[in-house]
Amino acid sequence: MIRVSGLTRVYGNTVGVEDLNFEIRDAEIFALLGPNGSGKTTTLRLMTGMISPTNGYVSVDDIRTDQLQRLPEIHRKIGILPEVPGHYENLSAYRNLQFFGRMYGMSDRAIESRTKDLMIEFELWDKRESAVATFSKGMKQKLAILRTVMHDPKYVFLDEPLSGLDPESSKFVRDYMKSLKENGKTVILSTHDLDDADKLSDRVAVVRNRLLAIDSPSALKAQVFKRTVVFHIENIQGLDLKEIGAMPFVNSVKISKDSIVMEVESPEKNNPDITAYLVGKGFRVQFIGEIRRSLEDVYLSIVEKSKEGKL
Amino acid sequence: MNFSLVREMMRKDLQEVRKNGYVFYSLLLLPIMLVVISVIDSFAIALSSSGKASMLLPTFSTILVFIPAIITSLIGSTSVILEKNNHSLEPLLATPITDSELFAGKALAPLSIGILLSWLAFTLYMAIMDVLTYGHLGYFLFPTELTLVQMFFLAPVTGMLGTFLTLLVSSKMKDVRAAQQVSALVVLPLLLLIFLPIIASGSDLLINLLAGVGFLIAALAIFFVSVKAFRRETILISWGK
Repeated sequence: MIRVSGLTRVYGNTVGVEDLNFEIRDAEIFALLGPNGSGKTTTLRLMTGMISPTNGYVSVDDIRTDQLQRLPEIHRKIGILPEVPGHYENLSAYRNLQFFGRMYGMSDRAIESRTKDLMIEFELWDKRESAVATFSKGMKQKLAILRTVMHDPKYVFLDEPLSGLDPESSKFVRDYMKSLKENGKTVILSTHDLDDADKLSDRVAVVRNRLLAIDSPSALKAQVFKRTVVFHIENIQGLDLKEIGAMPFVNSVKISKDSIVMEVESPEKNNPDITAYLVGKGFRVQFIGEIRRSLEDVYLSIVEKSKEGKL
Repeated sequence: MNFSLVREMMRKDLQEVRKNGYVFYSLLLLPIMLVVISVIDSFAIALSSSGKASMLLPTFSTILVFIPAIITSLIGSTSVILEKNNHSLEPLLATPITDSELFAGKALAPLSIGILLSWLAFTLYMAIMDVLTYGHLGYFLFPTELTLVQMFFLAPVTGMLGTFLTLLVSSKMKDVRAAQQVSALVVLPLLLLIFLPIIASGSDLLINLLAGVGFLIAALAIFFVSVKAFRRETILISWGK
């Protein structure tokens, strides 16, 4: 488990991040979301011990990253994919992986076997002797992911892993992230792609130099937005909105085109009562649906509230 | 210190230099050029001063002592900052390598190239001079005690001094150009200034030995200062900004 406690980092007069408190559980996919300059990279660097905090601490499996003599121990547990892949472009793909394998203390036999397995899985084996400079952007990104997991780390930090990938490669990487989780690895994801974060993450943290919200995507949606249902009526004329609004489980109601849009508590329990009321009043209910909020809606709402000082 | 990590770091840097044809061949040019100049000057002296030639000739090998310092100031100044510019530094710093291992690995690659090229230059110089002077002197002039001391002691020690000084200076620089410029305009002239007494002393073995010991002490002192200054956090946040 990774524990972040009172984590603060100040650069001169600028606050990178301030008083972050959260935990990342084992075998979960945890997404870090935030606008540009919100301290995501600083948080990742602090969590991986690359930079030291001004205040607070991070512990990885109970080893604090400010225990510098134990930093190599932490680094064996983690793999990092930076935002830009960063390869030794003149060297071959295999040599790049071999170098990092050796830096992680792997034996040459283990490197050979692991590299072969991963390169075959990532469809790069045929290009193993080619200089990385000749690779496409997608191939470089795949190689960088491969380098990140080369030493079989417990914690995998991925900064924008799907950036620049074609749809097929994106799907491959998304599936690979899921397989990491299935194999007991913890994936810490920093991304701007909220759709991917929504689909992949068990929990998300929204940061804007401080922690604005943290929970599962569905719980955050429920926290930020009340559940909204839509009733499509054949002929909406004569409908008394005040009566509907007076129902105890209806938080708000409005008419949009030929539909009634309501924020309702527990729709599964209360929709039948609303339907019975409408039918009783002689309206023909054609369709009932729920407006699904995306993580993007939640994120934008949280960030907007933070800008307005409401969070 | 984990020497296998240091060795691997050095090996990777050497491969990168070798794969970059432009850098590799331009590095070979320096010792060849210095050997040619030394041979021409030495031979001219030999022809004009007849019997005194054997006393004067070894003086010209002193210039070859500079080779490791020049090489390391050229490629050593950029080896870390290029990693940052190529975005390979972050994954590297995420490995279990310590700051001192990274520093040593980064120092060893340019240093080993510099020392090997200086040995190549010394060997070439001595072989050519022996061939050219044997007929006149009737014996092989080289190797002498002085050239052996210069080749195996003074040149490596000067290279160490140059490497550590260059890395120390470049650790304070923000970009590649500044690192190279400061190395070329500050480190090299500084070394030249230190070397002037040796050049002036000509073939005095004792002065060469004493200078070597002095450089070794200075190099070790700078090494410890440099390792302290070589902090991953500073490199990650400040370098190349």
